[in-house]
Amino acid sequence: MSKNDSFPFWSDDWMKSQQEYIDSWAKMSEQMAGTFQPKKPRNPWIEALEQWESFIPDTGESQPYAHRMLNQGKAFFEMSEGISQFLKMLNDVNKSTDEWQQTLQSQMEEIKNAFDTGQGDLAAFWDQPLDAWQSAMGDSVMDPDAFLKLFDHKDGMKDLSHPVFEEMNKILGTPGVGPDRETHEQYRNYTRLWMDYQRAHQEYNDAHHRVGKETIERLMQRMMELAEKGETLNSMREVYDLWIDCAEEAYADFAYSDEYQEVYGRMINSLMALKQASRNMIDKAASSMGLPSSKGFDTVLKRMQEMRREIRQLQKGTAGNQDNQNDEIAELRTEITNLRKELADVKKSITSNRAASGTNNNTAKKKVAPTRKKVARKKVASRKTTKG
Amino acid sequence: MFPFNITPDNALKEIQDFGNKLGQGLQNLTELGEIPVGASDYDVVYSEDKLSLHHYTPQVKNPNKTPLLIVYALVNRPYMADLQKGRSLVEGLLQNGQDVYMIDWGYPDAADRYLTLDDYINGYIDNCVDEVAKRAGVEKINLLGICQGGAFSLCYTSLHTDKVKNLITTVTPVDFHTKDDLLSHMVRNVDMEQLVETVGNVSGEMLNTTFLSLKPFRLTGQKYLDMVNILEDEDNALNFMRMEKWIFDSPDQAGEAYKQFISQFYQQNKLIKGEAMIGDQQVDLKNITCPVLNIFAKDDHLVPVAASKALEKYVGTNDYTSLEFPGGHIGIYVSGKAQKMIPPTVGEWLSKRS
Repeated sequence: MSKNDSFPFWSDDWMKSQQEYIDSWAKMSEQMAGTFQPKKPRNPWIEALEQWESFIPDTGESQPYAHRMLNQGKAFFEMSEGISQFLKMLNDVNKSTDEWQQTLQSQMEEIKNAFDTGQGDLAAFWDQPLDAWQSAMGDSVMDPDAFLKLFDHKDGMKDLSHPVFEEMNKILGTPGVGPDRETHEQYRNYTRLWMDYQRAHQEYNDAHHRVGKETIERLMQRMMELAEKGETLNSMREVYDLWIDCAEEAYADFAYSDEYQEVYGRMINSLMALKQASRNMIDKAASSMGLPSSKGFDTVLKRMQEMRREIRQLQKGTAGNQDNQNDEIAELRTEITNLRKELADVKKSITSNRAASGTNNNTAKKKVAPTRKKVARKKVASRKTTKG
Repeated sequence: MFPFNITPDNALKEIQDFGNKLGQGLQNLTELGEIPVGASDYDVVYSEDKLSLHHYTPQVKNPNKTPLLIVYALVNRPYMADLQKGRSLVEGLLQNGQDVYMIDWGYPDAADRYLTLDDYINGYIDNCVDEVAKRAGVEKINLLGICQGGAFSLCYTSLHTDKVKNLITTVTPVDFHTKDDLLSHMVRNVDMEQLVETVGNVSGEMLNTTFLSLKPFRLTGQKYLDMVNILEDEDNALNFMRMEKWIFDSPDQAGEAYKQFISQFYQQNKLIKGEAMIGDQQVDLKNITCPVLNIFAKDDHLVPVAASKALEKYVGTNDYTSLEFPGGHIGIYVSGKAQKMIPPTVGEWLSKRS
């Protein structure tokens, strides 16, 4: 790096270093793919990453994470670019006076303005989480945003006070007539829902950008606080981390507000209403061609689950009945065992009573015994007489 | 004082270093191959639809005679509880003398669209409890619920008091309307009926985006810059990637059950009101009279401490113990600190009561 350049961000050395960097990337890429022609970079750091990205294998568990890391790498390079430009600007002012604070203020204002226009690297970086959300929600059935993206901020379509919307409302208010009335009504309803979603989505975007601006405010405030305390930011990464801290704080304040709850709810609900309407239209078209509709499929699934539930209940019932019978048998067996035991006890008790009484009246027993025998004989004799 | 001490030389070096690390990290990342997960050996001892019940091989001679069934959440995959050797709740519990079973819910698809909470709680969980009890030859088992699985375990125990001996809840939401519950705050105005009617099953991607939106800039940005440093070391890279794999391994949610859960629990906070309905049965937490151990994480951004702690007020047991873990929602299962704290505490608590 040239010693006589007092603050050479974006100097020749800087650019040279970047070119060396992309060359080294290119060399690595050549090794991987065999062919690689580096272009003249717009921002060589980022361009290098984009080149590298194209060589990441499409398969493998790590693939999505590699893309995520590269995207954040790009974002960091973009941010570093912004910071370095900003630092270059600050280098030209007197750092010991309030002048740097004014420059900081004006720079921050510029960044805040970028949120209004949706232009600028930082605004794009800020929108990354929102884009991820749109992609996840949109992919579930169909992506209404894909249509919305046809309209840029500049042409006013996203400006909800735009006369186009008023005109559309008038058209949508016209009652349908004739044999296709129902179809027209369906399309009108769809358009109405699309406009509702557009409105809710825009509301969310606006709120999100407001949080972006609030983040910049906080960032500036924190930088001022550091200055007051005599502390410094010593690397690009420290600036980035401070920015993330401010962003999360500003976002949390918004996310816990009632406004967020309402705006988020409206956005999801309007999107779902729109998707449902589009599904209904597709269903209608499918039915007219004798094809199965999603509604029909849904009914099948519902009935199937009801049947599964009934079968399980029946199985449980049968198993339950079997269990009851088994329980009853087991109970009866126990009862029989107990009864047997009782009987045995009774028998034992009688025997022992007899034995006991025999021991106690030994003499008496002996005395009466001949009499008993005699009676018995007599009884037998009388039976024999009768029978004969 | 001027708050920037960034010289051009240092800035340039930082950017170059970052670029080099990024390049090296990418190369390391693409060379990692398959990311292995799971630490403990198990057998599948019961299966039903997409569900499978894992029985882990005991690691002590005479494990607790009352088996422990882990009920995982429907969100994400249960291998979080057994991520890798040395970072596994299951492994820790086995080493602490427990006979461990865990429910793997599988990946619901369209055929599961109309599964209800009743099907999950009085169907699947009940069948698993019966199976575990039968295998162990006991009437009651120990239950450990994780996050949403904890809420399910509470419902189950309330409805089947005769089958649960001890209940452990970990990072379990109970009061869904605490001030710091951002997830609950977010979904309060969402028309769940319409959402589920529209999308059917709720996609894992949609859920992930919702979770990421709790801390969007840290979780979708900063984390991946940190990854550049992590990827320098292969072991660290694998650990990081295991977590990433788990975070984004999100099964779709059976639409009907999801609707019932969000609507009754998150939106209407019916669990603590004693109004939650599972099928035609009302859940009253006062019915829970068995011993309860409630573990929550101090820095949990998904289930705030207050949301879990509330359980004490609503359960009917006289034997309630709570434990605050100094970490986050996931750290409670995988951090080194957790390995030293959670399984021994659970093991000791259960041994005293089994």
